[in-house]
Amino acid sequence: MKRLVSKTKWPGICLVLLISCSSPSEYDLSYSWSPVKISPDIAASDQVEAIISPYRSQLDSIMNEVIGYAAHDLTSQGQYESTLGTFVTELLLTQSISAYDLDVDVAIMNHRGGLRAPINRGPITLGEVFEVMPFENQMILLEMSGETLLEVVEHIGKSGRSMIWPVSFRVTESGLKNIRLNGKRIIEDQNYILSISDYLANGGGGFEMLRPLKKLDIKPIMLRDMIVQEIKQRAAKGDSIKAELANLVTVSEQ
Amino acid sequence: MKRRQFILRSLAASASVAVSPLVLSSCQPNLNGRKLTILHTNDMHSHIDPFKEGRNKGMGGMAARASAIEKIRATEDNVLLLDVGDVFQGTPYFNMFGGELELKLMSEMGYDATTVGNHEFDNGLDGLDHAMQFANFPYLSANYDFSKTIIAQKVRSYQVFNRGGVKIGIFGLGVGLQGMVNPALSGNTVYLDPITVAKEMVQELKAQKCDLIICLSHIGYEYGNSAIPSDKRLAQEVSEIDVILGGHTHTFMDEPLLLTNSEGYTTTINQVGWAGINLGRIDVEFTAKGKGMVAYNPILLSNKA
Repeated sequence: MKRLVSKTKWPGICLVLLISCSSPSEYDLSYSWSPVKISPDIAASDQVEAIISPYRSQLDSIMNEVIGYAAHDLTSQGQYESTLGTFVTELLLTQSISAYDLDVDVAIMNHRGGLRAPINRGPITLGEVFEVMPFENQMILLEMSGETLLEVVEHIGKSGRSMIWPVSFRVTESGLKNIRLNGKRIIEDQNYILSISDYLANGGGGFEMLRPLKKLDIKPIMLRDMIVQEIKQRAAKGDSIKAELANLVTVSEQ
Repeated sequence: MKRRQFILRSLAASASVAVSPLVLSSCQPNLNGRKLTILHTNDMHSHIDPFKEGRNKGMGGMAARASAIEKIRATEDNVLLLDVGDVFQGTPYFNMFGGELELKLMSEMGYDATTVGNHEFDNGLDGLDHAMQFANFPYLSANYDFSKTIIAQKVRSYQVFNRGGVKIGIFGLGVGLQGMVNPALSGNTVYLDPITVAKEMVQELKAQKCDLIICLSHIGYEYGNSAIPSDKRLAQEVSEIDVILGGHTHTFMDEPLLLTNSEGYTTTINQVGWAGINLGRIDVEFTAKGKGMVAYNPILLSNKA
């Protein structure tokens, strides 16, 4: 508990108050603060529990379904690449290619900020995936020139909040170097197809350059559904989820 | 009632003393010694239940928060319970029930007001409109112009509350929508500059003779880019906001920041992280100027029920 006395109240209008009323017109405010940690030591309110209970039962019956297994913890920690970001961007590309039956070239995910919880080692429940991707984002496809794609990669290099699969580059003090898509140069006047969430495609996360782009005429699939699908497909094959950093991004001085 | 009797008794007891005519004068209540307890949350993100795993395991949970609030209400007469937005989104409760449960529970706990955070738009304006029927407290937002949307009648810029004779003016502020909220979801909502709007709010609330001005600010604590409006900029550029309760940046503060601006005005800024891990508590006491601090007993809170 701390306290501090602060400032004069209403120095400007005290005169008026002195004329119109005879009560004191100036106050000091003293503040004390004492945040309460909501810890397991505090007994739950029965009344509130009673309201939650039917909702929780309904939710648990759906969300506790185990849909697969994680071989290790996957998190979104890491500036340019993370294990969870690697897992998600890679699956967004492969799932988009098979779902839309198109030669999709790259997939983007704002792994820092967009993936809201880790996937913990062990059984993965449907509820866990909802915590990773709570948003009702839909995956859409954008067609763009190599020139715009390079601009997108530059933005990712600068902001360091998103991953683009499978693009490699080197971050240097004078900008990005050696930008490659599957080891090949990105050709400025060639067209590329990008799989991305509608949130980012509408300019979210600083992707302003994507707003004017043409969206391909496909039936969008929910981002979360793609993640669920991937985990289920791997479980059906007896595979667990694992992701290693591909080290697509390197940082050097020159 | 008890409290009123106590005050009347004190007045009677002091009737023989020379100060009593001052106290009894009609137009401005004597606030000396009045206390107000502000409880606040921000960015609860649908965390109905305590964390099941991870480093916050066991923390939070709305049923435990309700107990903590009840305990404070048992000892304090003048409590304001406020939220600073992003009630929605973050657990499957929101995906399945669209915010209905969060708002029902906040109503049960006796929240006095909340504001519109960016995630309140996550199910579109229709989704927000539908969920609002479960809130028995107002949504305050002064810099989102909802006049061309279906929730035009459901959001006010500010509201004046009275607690034990203290008039408290409360207004809300929201974060810039561009790049933050999918335009398909925010529809015809228009974002206005929070600093400009805050100046207007202060004028309005001063004109209504508020004793204390509180801002529910979902604009964020501070940013590397100082051009972006933040709580710190707000306190620097707008005088006479007494307390800024913050949100959006999920900032865990060890203690509030008391920021004194170039006009010499001090604003208290506080934010309590996210997910309902902490319940913020600020006690404000009015003291006649020049008398110094009145005797004040710190309220020691035990987490034990």
